[in-house]
Amino acid sequence: MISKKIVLTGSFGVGKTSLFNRFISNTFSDNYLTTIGVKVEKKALQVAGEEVSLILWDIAGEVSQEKVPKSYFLGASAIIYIFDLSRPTTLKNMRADLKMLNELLPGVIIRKVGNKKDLILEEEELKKIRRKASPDILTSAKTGENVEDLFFDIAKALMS
Amino acid sequence: MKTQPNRGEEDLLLEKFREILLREDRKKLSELEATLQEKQKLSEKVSPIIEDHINFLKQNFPREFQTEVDRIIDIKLQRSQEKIIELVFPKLGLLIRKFIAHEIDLLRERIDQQVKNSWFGSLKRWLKGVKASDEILANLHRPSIREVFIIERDSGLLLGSASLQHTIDKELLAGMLTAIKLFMEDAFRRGEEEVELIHYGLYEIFIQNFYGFYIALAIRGSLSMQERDQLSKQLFTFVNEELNTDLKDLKPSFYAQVNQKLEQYFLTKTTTQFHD
Repeated sequence: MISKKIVLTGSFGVGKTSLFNRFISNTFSDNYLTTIGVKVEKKALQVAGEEVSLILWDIAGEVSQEKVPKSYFLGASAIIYIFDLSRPTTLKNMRADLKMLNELLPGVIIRKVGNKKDLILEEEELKKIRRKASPDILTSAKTGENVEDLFFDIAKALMS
Repeated sequence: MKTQPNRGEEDLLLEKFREILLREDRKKLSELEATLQEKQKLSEKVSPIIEDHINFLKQNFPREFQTEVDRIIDIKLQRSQEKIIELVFPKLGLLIRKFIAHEIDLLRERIDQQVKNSWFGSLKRWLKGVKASDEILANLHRPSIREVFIIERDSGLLLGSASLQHTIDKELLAGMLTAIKLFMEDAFRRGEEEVELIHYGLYEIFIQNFYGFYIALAIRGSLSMQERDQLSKQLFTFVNEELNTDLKDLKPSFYAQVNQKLEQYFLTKTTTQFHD
């Protein structure tokens, strides 16, 4: 079985842990997030008949990724950068954060995810966010919309 | 009466004459021009010559250029001497400091052991009222290895494991242990130093760091300095003998083999004195 490390990151309160919990069944207590700033979970998926084990690192939110220990990102095959569709301020540091991540992990797969889609009712508002942030996918950890798709898409990209 | 050719006819004749005489040369010239202008044709002609030169260089590089390369390296080394010292010095200092601390601990432990075994030690125990049975029981409670994990240094991905007991998912454990280790190393910012031992209750996690990975051993009981030293040597032997492979490009058969080897090296009664 192939194992890959995936890091979920983004500003605080964007719903990383909810997205994480929506996708996996919890084993470790969320206390880890407040104590050491990271929680690791695992999810096995079948991609084209082959099993891939996604080792997911949920990193506690900071306003900027500069404050997160860089060592948490090392060895990652993919980064899920999450922002809150209902809070445009969570996009403020995205460009700088992605630049830092690309420099730290050249060639890493990065997916920009706009979360809390359930809170956005206006299509016009979504269009505006799409233009501004060009997210790869919009999700809702609350309703589960696109959550499985996001991880399957990453698993497929990692296996290709 | 013969008529003399006029100027125009003369030029025409001359041109024809030139054409007859230079036909072969002109043909060769146009062929040469075409070869030079067409990349593929030129490459067909030039590539074998370049390849010959490359092969010559490959075979004779050390003989032809050794002196020059040595000279350049010498100059570079001389110029970067300070930089190299700057880079190596902290590492060397750290290693020396660690070695001295380790040797002092070992010496202290040996002295303690000798005192304990001497008449003075017996007298001290007699005065303190320590029973011989308590001492025998304490000696019986030897530390034992319960689990071994080989973990990739940065990613925390599990490369191999062996266990005497059922634990939670080993991949998860490897990831979380790496996260805790990284957190401790980052939080205390002790330069190049790394986490080597974690205590919890009756257990210890002994960590031996290598370049691209580390080995973590879950031990029931507490290791003495001497035992730690012995275990360290055992781990180096294991790595030298069994992990001579590119860990970035592992074949599926590697995992099964390495798990078996870990068990043989660390979890069987005959291979380690720590196991009860």
